[in-house]
Amino acid sequence: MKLLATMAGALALTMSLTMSLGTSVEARPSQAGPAQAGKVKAQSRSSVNTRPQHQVSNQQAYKAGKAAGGRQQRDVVVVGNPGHGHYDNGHYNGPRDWDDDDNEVLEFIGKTAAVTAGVSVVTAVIGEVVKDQPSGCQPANIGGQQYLNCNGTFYQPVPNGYQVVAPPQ
Amino acid sequence: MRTMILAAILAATPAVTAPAAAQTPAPQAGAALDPEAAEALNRMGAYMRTLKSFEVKSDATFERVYENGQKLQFGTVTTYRVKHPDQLQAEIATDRNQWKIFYNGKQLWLVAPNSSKYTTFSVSGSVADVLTRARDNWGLDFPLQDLFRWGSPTATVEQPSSGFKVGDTTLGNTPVTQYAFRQPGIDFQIWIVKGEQPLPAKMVITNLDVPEQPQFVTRFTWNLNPELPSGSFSFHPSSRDQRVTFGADAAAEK
Repeated sequence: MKLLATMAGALALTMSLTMSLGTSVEARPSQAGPAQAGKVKAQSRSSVNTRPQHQVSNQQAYKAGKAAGGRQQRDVVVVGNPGHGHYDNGHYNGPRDWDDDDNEVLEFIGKTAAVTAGVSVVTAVIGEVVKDQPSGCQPANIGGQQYLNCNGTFYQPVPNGYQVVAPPQ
Repeated sequence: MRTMILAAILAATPAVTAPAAAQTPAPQAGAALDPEAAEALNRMGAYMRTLKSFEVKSDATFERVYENGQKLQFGTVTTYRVKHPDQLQAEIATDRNQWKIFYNGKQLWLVAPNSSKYTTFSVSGSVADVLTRARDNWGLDFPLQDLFRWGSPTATVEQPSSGFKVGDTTLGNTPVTQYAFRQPGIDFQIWIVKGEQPLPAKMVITNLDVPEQPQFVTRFTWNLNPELPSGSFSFHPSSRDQRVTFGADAAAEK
């Protein structure tokens, strides 16, 4: 399940980033057995001396993206949980593990490096609160939740403004 | 009558076991960081930072919690070969896949031997710096980064909020002391070799972020005189190895 969702995003990325991964991106079912147990919800941590989340560098990525200007591409960087993944064009690219498929891992590394370096334009950071309603927003009711869809970035009203949230799936 | 005797035995049992239980140090409410435990961690870190080169193999099991509540165990064997301060060769072999990593102080290679693909980044700095960058900038979480951070003044090490000595034991034939620490989101235990080479021999990390508390358990095998010929820290691709590029801009990230 996780594989299918991310593969769609990954294929889109392959084109936008001109990554050369050979002739085809084939998905090897690296987690064939546990499929019936569902998605991975959590796992153990392998270091105690690391920052628990990815916060600082994503803020840097956000600044880099802003400095680069333009809003052609909609990348949303995730601050805080669920950790060091990122959204782009509505697809969540979750963190990769060392036992995932080679191509998936390599794509993820390349994409994350690009987002961090501000090569692709970061338009919003999840969790960020803006005081004023951004321009070009359409109200959207998805799954019983009220959102504002502002050029592909989703907001929800909070007491002190509008907060960027993960795109509803 | 029989029932009554049994009841009497059961009633007596707690009184018998209580003194034995008291011998096991238990974490107390509001317990602080025992200076002896803190010193053991500092001494281990300081010793590790004196090593000019080393090879360490970690044989680890870790757990994943699935949506249906099942907790499954997997294995990872990680080997780090290190020349201080900025040369690293690593092999990460999971149950499903294998990676090789080379870092020569100027260039880092990530190699996927099964598909003969690799990628490379221009980076510099200490091994700890590069592992931080790998995590923050490329979303790549190397196992056991602690090995490069304990005792390092530049490390973003959070002092554990509590810790105590559990006791002395042996692992194999090696005398060790077991310590237990707590810090936000994590409980960890470490078995440190007794004597003049206080290296970690075993470690358990318990993730407290989720109720299932998945654990990472590893034993370490140390070699303090590894053979590391020059060239060990660079990847020399063969003709069948295929380089994966992400565009010049991404590779040249700051």
